[in-house]
Amino acid sequence: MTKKILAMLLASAMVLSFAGCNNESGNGGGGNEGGNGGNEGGNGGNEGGNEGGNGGGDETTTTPENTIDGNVDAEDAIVIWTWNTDIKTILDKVLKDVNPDLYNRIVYVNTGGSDYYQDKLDNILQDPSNKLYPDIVALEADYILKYTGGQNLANIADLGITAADYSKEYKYTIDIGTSPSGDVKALSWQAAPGGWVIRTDLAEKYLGTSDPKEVQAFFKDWDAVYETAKKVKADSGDETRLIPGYDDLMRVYQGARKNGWYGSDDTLVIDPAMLEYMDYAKKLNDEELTWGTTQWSDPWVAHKNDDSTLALPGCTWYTYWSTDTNHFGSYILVEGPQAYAWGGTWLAATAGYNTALKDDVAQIIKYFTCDTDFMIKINDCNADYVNNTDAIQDRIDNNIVAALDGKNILSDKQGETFIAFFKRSGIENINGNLLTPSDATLNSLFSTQVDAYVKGGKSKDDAVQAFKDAAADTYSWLKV
Amino acid sequence: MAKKRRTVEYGRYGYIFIAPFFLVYLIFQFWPLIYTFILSFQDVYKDKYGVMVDNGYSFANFTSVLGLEGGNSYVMQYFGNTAIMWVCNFVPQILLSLLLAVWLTDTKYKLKGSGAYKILIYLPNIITAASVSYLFYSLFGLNGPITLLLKDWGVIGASYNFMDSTAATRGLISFINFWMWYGNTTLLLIAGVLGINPSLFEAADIDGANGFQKFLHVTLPMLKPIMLYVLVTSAIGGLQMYDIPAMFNVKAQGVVGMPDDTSTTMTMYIRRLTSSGSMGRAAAVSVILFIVTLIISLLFFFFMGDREKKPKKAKKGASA
Repeated sequence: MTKKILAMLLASAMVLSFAGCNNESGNGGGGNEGGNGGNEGGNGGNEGGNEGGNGGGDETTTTPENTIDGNVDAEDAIVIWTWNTDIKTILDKVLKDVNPDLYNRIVYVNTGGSDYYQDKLDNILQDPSNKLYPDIVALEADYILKYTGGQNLANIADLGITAADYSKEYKYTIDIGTSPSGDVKALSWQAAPGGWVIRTDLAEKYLGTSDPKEVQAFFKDWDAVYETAKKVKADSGDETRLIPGYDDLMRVYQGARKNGWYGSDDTLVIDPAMLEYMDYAKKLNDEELTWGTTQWSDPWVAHKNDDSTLALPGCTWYTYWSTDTNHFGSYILVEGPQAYAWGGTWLAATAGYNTALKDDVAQIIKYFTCDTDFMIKINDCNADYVNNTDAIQDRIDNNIVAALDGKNILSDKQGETFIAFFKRSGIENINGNLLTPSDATLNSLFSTQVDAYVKGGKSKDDAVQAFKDAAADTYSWLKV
Repeated sequence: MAKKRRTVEYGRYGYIFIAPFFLVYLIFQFWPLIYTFILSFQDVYKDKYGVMVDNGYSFANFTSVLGLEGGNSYVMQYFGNTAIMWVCNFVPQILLSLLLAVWLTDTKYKLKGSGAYKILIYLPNIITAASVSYLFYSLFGLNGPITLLLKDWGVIGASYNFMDSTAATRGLISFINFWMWYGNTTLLLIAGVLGINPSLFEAADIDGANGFQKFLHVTLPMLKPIMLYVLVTSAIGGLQMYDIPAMFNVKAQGVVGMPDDTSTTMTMYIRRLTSSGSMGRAAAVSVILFIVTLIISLLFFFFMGDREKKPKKAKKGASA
């Protein structure tokens, strides 16, 4: 009898693990990943062999877990997929008051970082019957075109959102959200022109001024930036350097491009601006004018937050999201050597969204991207530069300073508000055509080779060639 | 009659109980394995918008990843990376494990607290590989405590960065793998040594053999079967090395091992191709990896399995 029970238990344990596998494959790799696991299983199921590479555990050990808020089993649940808490903040602080019913029905899936977001999204989008299949997805500038050009998003028009609804948005954000066939597929609630965030106390110490106009003179062109970098290093006795790492400049240089990584003919283009960036990075690194960090790494965060760094090339969302809250009130913004834009997040409804909830899905997107009152409240809660000219005008008319949790981000020395600064930063001239669907990976492959050239002693030609090879190898359809 | 029927029914229960395993195996292991082979001959990839393009069956995937169409052979490059990091971790690991296994089992030394030690050396293996990888990355990072300490002592230059050095990155990845797995290997070898008939050691003692001679002529030959197992499983795991290098010194998305692509392993390459939508070529690399693994395992079997008779002879000789 006990044997029977034991056998039954073992069998049910097996079935349970089977169910577990099934769940995992919803989020994990596709057919090929499974094939890999197959190889391993074939070689003996003893914990995937000995040294290191335990292939079977890959997906769970290196990919961050999804955090899910809300009741996904509810009939009228609206599932939103994103990679951080940015949208959650707006939901909690704004939507909760404006429309509590809608707020309570939202299921918020946070994939924990943008590095694995696309993989996770691609897998869930293959599986419309999954209860976690998103109704709304957040898409970042680096890869949004992959989705607007693909078949996984619904048309904004089909949701009942008209061009009149989003007429107040900045044109470049609509251009980016439009598919090659001319359908608007995604709308953004933020515009993201760039600037340079400067610490006033350090500017006074090493540049002798904290007046934005005078500080701008130190950043007026790339030669001036280089001289400033030398001056800061020398005057501070190498306590402070200009920027955390040379790769902080990549987004600025990318804004000066005439072409994205490839055009409609799928041929890789390395814009002269990117080659200039390589030389400039080499120059800064050879003279140790930066701290040599990699953007978003821990040392980068440390240098960005302490007194060792004077300037941070950033943009609208960067200014409230990535600067150090302890130094709020001592930052000023200057234009820097050239205009650029960086990132931004778009919202889109998926092709297989729950059509029974069409109005609710449309309402959420409208709240975030069309509704002037709602967008004013977004600005109130996180200081973001919202993608709505009326809301921006309201902020300027009321002279609203940018504040996060009651703390002003900018110093009084700025002499103008955060919104006013970015409004005159050339936002009308932002070129929405510089993006490609594959920016995230191509940027990664390119900066690998920039590092090899700058720090590794590889020749520039070799580095460029290696980038071309890697790009062509990663994307079979890309011509080099 | 009734009795006979009963036994038949028990047999059926048996099949039902083992069925789940075979179902899971067939659906989640066997079919994907077969499908990977099919896919590797299919020129399929996703275009820039994630739409599948199918150019039919061909060898294009293999010629492309092997660099036969001209250009860089990424498979060879990444196989080289993987092999270097595996050898650098495995050779010191097997030597240390052998030494520890012999010491911990030797009845002459009767080491105190050897039980606790066995647990301690196994502990690193319990921590998630990703955490260990991140921990080491922090310790040896640009402003990591160990980096700063070594700079203070003047061991490395003020602007030195471990993460910019190919040798340091590969070395650290090898060391992490070594540190995580030597306990496991030691335990396997201890089990192997304990399985050797103690009378052999006694006989060797009587014959006046010293410790080294006993190790060389008794322990080592008798350990062959378990050594074969350790070597084969370690080669399989090593060639599929993924989580440590993919979390250690990488650009965003974990698809390129820094610096300059020198710590990218075969499985990281497979992941890069999968996430860029190059399914066919990812499958081709998987198949190549499978074949290479198979060849290496067979080589081990051929060279080590061949001498399996020797221990028997040695046994006879020793007891005679």
